[in-house]
Amino acid sequence: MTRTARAGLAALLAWGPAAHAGQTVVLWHAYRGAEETALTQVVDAYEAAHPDVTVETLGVPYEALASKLTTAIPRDNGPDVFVFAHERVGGWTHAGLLRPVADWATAPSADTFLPASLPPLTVDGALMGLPLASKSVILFRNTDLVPEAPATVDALVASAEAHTGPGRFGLAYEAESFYFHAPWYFGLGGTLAAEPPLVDFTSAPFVDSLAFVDGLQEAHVMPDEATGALVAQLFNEGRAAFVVSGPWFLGEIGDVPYALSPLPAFPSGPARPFMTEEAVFVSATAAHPDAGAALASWLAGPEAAVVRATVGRQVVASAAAWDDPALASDPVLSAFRDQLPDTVPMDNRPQMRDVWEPAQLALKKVLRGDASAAEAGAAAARRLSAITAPTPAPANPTPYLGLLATAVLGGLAVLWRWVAGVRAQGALGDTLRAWTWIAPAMAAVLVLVFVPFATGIGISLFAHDEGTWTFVGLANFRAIVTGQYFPLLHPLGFVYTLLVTVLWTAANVVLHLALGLFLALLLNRKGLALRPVYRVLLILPWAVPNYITALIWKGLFHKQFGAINGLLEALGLQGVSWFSSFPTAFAANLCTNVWLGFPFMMVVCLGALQAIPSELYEAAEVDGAGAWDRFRHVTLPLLQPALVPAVLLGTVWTFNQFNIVYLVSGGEPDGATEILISEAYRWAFTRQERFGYAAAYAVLIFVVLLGWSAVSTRLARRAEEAAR
Amino acid sequence: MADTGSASVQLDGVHKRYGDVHVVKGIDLDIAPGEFVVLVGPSGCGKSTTLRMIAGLEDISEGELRIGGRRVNETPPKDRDIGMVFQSYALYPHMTVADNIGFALKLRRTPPADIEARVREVAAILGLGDLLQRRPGQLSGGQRQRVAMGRAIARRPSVFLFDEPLSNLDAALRVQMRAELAALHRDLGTTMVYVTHDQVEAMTLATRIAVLHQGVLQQVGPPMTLFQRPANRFVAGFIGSPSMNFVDGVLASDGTGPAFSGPSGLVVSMTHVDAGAMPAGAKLTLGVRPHDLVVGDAGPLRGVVRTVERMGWEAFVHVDVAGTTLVARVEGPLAARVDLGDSLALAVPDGVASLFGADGVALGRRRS
Amino acid sequence: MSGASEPVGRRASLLATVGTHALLVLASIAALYPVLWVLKIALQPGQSFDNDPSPFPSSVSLEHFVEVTSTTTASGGWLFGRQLFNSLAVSGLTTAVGLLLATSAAYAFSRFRFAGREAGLTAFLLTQIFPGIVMLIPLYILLDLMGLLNALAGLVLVYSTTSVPFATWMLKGYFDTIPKELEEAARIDGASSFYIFSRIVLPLARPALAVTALFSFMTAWNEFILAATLMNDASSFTLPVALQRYVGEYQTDWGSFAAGAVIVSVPVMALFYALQRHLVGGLTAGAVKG
Ligand SMILES: Nc1ncnc2c1ncn2[C@@H]1O[C@H](COP(=O)(O)OP(=O)(O)O)[C@@H](O)[C@H]1O
Ligand SMILES: [Mg+2]
Repeated sequence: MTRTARAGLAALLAWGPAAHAGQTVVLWHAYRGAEETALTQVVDAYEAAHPDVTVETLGVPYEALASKLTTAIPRDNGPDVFVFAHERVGGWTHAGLLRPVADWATAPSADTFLPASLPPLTVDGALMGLPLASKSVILFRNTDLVPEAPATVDALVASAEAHTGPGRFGLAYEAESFYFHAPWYFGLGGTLAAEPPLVDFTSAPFVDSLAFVDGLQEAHVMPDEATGALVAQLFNEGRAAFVVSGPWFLGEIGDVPYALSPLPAFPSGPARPFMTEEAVFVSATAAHPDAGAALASWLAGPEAAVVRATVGRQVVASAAAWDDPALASDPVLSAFRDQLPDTVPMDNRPQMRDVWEPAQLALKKVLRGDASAAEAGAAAARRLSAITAPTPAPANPTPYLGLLATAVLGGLAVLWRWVAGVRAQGALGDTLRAWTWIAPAMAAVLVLVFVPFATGIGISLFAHDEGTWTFVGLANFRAIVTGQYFPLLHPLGFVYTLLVTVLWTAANVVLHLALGLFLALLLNRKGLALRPVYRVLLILPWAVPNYITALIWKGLFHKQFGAINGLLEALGLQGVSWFSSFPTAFAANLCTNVWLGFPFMMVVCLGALQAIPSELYEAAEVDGAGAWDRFRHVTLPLLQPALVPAVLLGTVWTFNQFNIVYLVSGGEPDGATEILISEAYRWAFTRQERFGYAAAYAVLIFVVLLGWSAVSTRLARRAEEAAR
Repeated sequence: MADTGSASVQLDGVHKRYGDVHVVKGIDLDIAPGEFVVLVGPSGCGKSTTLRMIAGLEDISEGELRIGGRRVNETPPKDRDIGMVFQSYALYPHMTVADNIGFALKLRRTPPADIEARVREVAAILGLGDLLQRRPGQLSGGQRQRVAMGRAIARRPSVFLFDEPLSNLDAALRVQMRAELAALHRDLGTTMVYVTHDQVEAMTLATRIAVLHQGVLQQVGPPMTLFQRPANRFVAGFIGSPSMNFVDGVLASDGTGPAFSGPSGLVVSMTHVDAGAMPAGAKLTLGVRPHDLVVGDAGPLRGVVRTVERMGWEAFVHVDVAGTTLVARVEGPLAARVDLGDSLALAVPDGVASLFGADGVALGRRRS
Repeated sequence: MSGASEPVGRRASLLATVGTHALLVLASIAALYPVLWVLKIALQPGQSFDNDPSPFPSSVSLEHFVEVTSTTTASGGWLFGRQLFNSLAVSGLTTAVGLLLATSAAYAFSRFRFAGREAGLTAFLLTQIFPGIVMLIPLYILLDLMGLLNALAGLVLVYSTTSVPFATWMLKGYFDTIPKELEEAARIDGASSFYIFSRIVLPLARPALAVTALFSFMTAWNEFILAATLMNDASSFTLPVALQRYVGEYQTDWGSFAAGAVIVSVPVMALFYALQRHLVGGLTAGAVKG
C-alpha cells in the first residue's frame, strides 16, 4: 500500500479522537463506579481551570491496563499520565516506562503525604509517582450481631464461633486469596523478605497461618469457596457477623448496620494486611510531559484529594486533605486511615507477583482438606521455585544464525528452481494469472498471520525478563520437555498437560459428533412437525459469543450461586464443589464446550444427511437392511466425506480452545485441568511475562498439531481409498 | 435465419498433452462449410478434448486450428464465432430460459428489443415458447436439452459444437431429438461438429464421420463408406450394430485369386481384394457383417445356436462354430422359428467380406 | 431437502414420533436454559445471581439495559452508541474485506490448475493450527509499524485476514461443486473472466457466501483480546471490550454483564436465524459432493 493510500484508509477508519488545537493530555486508569465519578469530577475541574488543556481519559480493567501500559509505552503509544497501584513500580522503573518524580515535580516534603504512602513508590531511592490513595482490608462487623469490636484474634474467633450456625457464618472473606489471607501471615510473625523469594512458604508463620484458617474452616466459621459476591450477599442478609474486606466493599453493603475496626491482634502482634498505594505516574514517552506533570500534581494535590475522598470514598494520601472537616469526621475513612500504620506494603518488584499463585495453591489445598498445613506450605514452596526458576543462560547465536542463513538460502534456491521449472513448462503465464487472484489474500495472510507466527517462533529462542531479551537458543524447549520446572507427569508438567489436552480434545470431539449426529438424525426424520423451531433452538448455543458462554457457565457451576447446584439441591441432591476436583472441573469445562460446540456438528451432519438420496435407503430396505444396518452401511459411509474435514477442524479448534478452559475452570484444581494453550498464556501474561517460554510452548503445540494433522489426513485418505 | 454464415474448420496436426499424458496425437481434419461431421470413438479416446480445442476451452499443444480459413489457436472462444452444447447442458440455474438463450446477445450489447425478438424466434424453432419464464430447474431433460440448443443457436454462430448432447436423454427422446437435429442442420446449413460415443447417432446424423481411437484419427468419410469399407479392424468393429464378425485365418489361393482360409475348412474367395505382394500363409483376419452371412441348411460353416435376439421381423443369432461365435441376421419365418440348440449352416458370399492384415489395416480392394 | 432417514411414504409409529419429540424437546431445553438464564439475570434488578434454578426472572426491570446502553464519553457523547457503531462497522467491513479476499482466492484454487496451488492451499490450512496467542505481541508491533494502532482499520485488517484461510477453504469446497461447463458455456457466449466470476459463479455460491460472511462477521463481532490490546480509547472500543469492564477484578456486575451479553448476542442470533436455511447447505455442499 502506498503511503497516501494508507493514510487515507487510516483517516477513513480511525474514528479516533478529534484533533484539538490546544494540548490534549491522555490519562489512563482502572477506576470504576464512585472512584471513576470522582476522577471525572476532578479532571473536569482541572479542565475548567486550564481552558487550553483537554484531558482525555480512558478506563480499562486493571489487568488489561497493566498489559496495555507495558506494550504501549515503549512504542510511544502510551498515555501521558496514568493511575495504577504501586505493585508494578519496580519492574516498570527498570524497564524505563516511568519518569521519576524529581524530573517533573518538586520533591514532596515529609508531611505532604501520609507517611506510609511514599516508600512503596520509591525505587532505588527515587520516587517514581505521586501517591493518590491507600488500599488495605479492614474488619467489618454487623453491629446488630456484634456491637463491640474484638481487640484480639482470639476474641474475634470466639465471637465468630458464637455467630456460626446453619447457613450463618461468623466470619466471611475470600479465604482462598493470599491478599485476604496476608493479615494472618503477617500477624503471626511473617515478613516479606528483602531478597526473593519474598515469602518462605515453609516458614513457621506461613504454616501457622494455614493451620489457623484450617481451624476456622473445620469449625465451619467461614463459608466454603467464598467469592466477593458471596461475602457481600451473606453480609447483606445478616448471615455473616464479620467480614474482612477493603474500601470497595462499602459500595456493596445494603441496609445492614455496620462498623469498621482495625484488624485484631495475635499474641505475637496485630494482624497486618497488605497495603497498596495507588499513584499517578507520568510515562517516560509522554507526548506532553509538562502538561501531564501538571495534571498529575493536581490529581495528587489536596484539593483533588478532598473530592476523591468524599465522592470516590478513597483513603487519600494527601495529608492536607485530612484537615478538611468532612474527612476528619468521617468514621469510615478514618477507620481505614487508622489501619494504615499496621499494614505491610506490597513489594514493588516483579517478584511480588510470583507469590500469589503458590500461596493460593497452598490455601486451596488446606481449605479443601487435601493437605495438612505443612504439606501445603511445602507444595507452595515447590511451585514458587518452579515459576521463579532463573532464566536460562545466554546462548551463542552464531550457530543458529548460520542455520537460519542456510535455511533462507536453501529456501531461495528451492523457490528459484521451482520458478525455473514452471517457466520451462511454459506455464508461467497461467501461473501468474492464477496467482493474481490469490495474491491479495495470500499477501494479507503472509503479513498478518505468517510473519507474526514466525516472529513468535523466533521469540521462543529468547528469554524475557523485565523488558530485556536474552538469546537462549533451545533452552526454553529443553526446560519444557525435560520437566525442569514441573515434573513432566504432574499437573503443569508438559506431558501431563499434553495428556489432559488430548483427553479434552478427544472427549469434546466425540461428544460433539455423537450429539450432533444424533440430533441431526432426529431432525431429519421424514415429516417431523416443528422442525424449524427445533432447528433454531438447537443452533442457538452457536450464536452466543463463546466468552459469554464461558462466563455464564462458570456462573452456572458456582458452588453457592450456581443454578446447577440449585437444580441438584431442588432434586434433593448434594451440591457439588465443581472446581475442586479434577473429574468435576474437567466435566464442567467439557459440558460448557459441548454445549457451545454441538450445533456446528449438527448442522454439518444435517447438510450431509440431506444430500443422501432416499433411494439408497429404499434400496437398502429392499435388500433386507434393518434400521441399524441402514445407519451403519448407508448413512455413516456417506456422511464420512463431510465429517472427516469437520472433525479434523474441530479437533484443531478444540485443542486450542483457550477461552473455555481459561474462563470456566481457570485450570482448577491446582492447574490440573489446564491445557497447553492456557498454560502458554499463563506463562506469558499471568506469571513473569516469560514470553519466550510461552512461545516455546506455542511452538510445541504447533508441532504436535502438525504431526497429528499429517497422520490423520493420511489415515483419512487411506480410509477413503479403501472405501472405493 | 438466412444470414447465418457457415465456416470451414481445419485441424492441422493438432496435438494435446497434459503434462506427460499425450491425449490427442496429431489430428488432421478438414471440415467444409455446412458439413455435419461426427467425431465418434469409445469413451476416453480424446473426442471431447478435440472438440474443446476447437472451442478454445483447451489450449492446443501443437499444430494449427483454422476456422473460416483463419488461424484461431490463440483466439479466445468468444471470438471464434462458435456455439456449443454441452452434455450436461450447462444452463445457468439462476436465469430464466429466456435469459439463458439471450445471454450471449446480452454480452454483445445487443439492444433488448432485438434480444427479445431473437429469443422468441429461437423458442419458436425449438418449441420452447411456453417455457421462457421458467428456470432450468423446472424443466424436463428434453426441454433442458432444447434450451441448451437454443442458447447456441441464438447467436447465429458459423460453427456449432456438440459434446454428446443426447446422452442424458431416454431412448425415445433421443430418436426424436436426433431427427430434430438433422432438421436443424438442414434448415440452418451451419457447420456442425458433433461428438458422440454412439455410432448410431454418428451414422444417422453425419455427412461425414471421423473415428477416433486413442487420440488418433482412424478414418474419415461418409457413413456408408465407413460401414462398407472400414479402413481398419477398429473402425470395422466400431461402426455397425451388431458388430462385425471376425475370424482369424491365413491367406490362401483358390486359383482365381486370393482366398481366405479359416478354421474348420472355411475357405472364402477374396477376388475383390488386392493382396498385393502378401505371401500365402500370411496371418489375416476375415471380417463379415452379420447381415452378410447367409444362413441356411447347407454351408461350409456349421454351428449351434447359443443366443437369439429377436427384433420381430428379424433376429440376430449367435452361432457357435467350432469355438468361434459368429453373429448372423435372419429374417422372416426363419427369425420366428430359430431356437436355442438349433444347428445352422452359415456361408460367406463372395465379394462382401473384408480382410485385415496382422496390423489391423484393411487390405485394399481391387478395381473392377 | 430430498433426503430422509426413514423410507418415504410410510408413517412412523406413534411411539417413534413421541420419542423423537421428547428427545428434541429435552435437547432444546438444554440449549435454551443458559440463554434464558442470562436473560433472567439481565432483567432482574441487582448485580448478583442466585441459585434459584428457575430460568425466569422473579421481577423484571430494564435498569441494566438502561445502564449498559447509556454510557457517555467524557465530552458527554453517547459512548454506547459509538461502540455499537464501531462493532458494526468493524464487523461489517471485516466481512466485506474478508469475503472479497477469500472468494477470489477460493475461485482460483477451485478453478485453475497452476504451479504452487497445492502449496498455497496447504499454507492456508496450516494457519488453522497456529496457536493465536503467541501472535499477540508481534501483531501489536506490526500494526504499530503500519500506523494502524488504535485505528479501527487495524482491527478490520487483522480480523479479515485471520478469517480468510477458513473462508477460502469453505468457499473452494463449494465452488468445486459448481459445474465447470457453466463457465465454459459463458466463455463461449463471450463473458469475461470477471463477468463469469461475478455473474455466474457468485450468484450460484450464495449459500456458501452467506455462511462464510456469517463466520467472518462473528470473528470480528466476538473478538475482544486483540481489540482490548490494540485500542486505546473508549470511543474506539468494540462492544465486547466494553462488556469486559463489567467483569472486574474484585467483583463482577453480573446484571450489567448479562444485559450487555444479551445486546451483543442478539445481532448474531438474528443473523443465524436469517441464514439458517443456507447454513445447512452452505457448510457441507463442498464436502459432500466434491
Ligand atoms: N485435464 C486433464 N489432465 C489429464 N488428462 C486428461 C485431462 N482431461 C482429459 N484427460 C484424459 O484425456 C483422455 C481423453 O479425454 P476426453 O477427451 O474427455 O475423452 P472422450 O473421448 O471420452 O470425450 C482421457 O483419457 C482423459 O483421462
Ligand atoms: Mg467426452
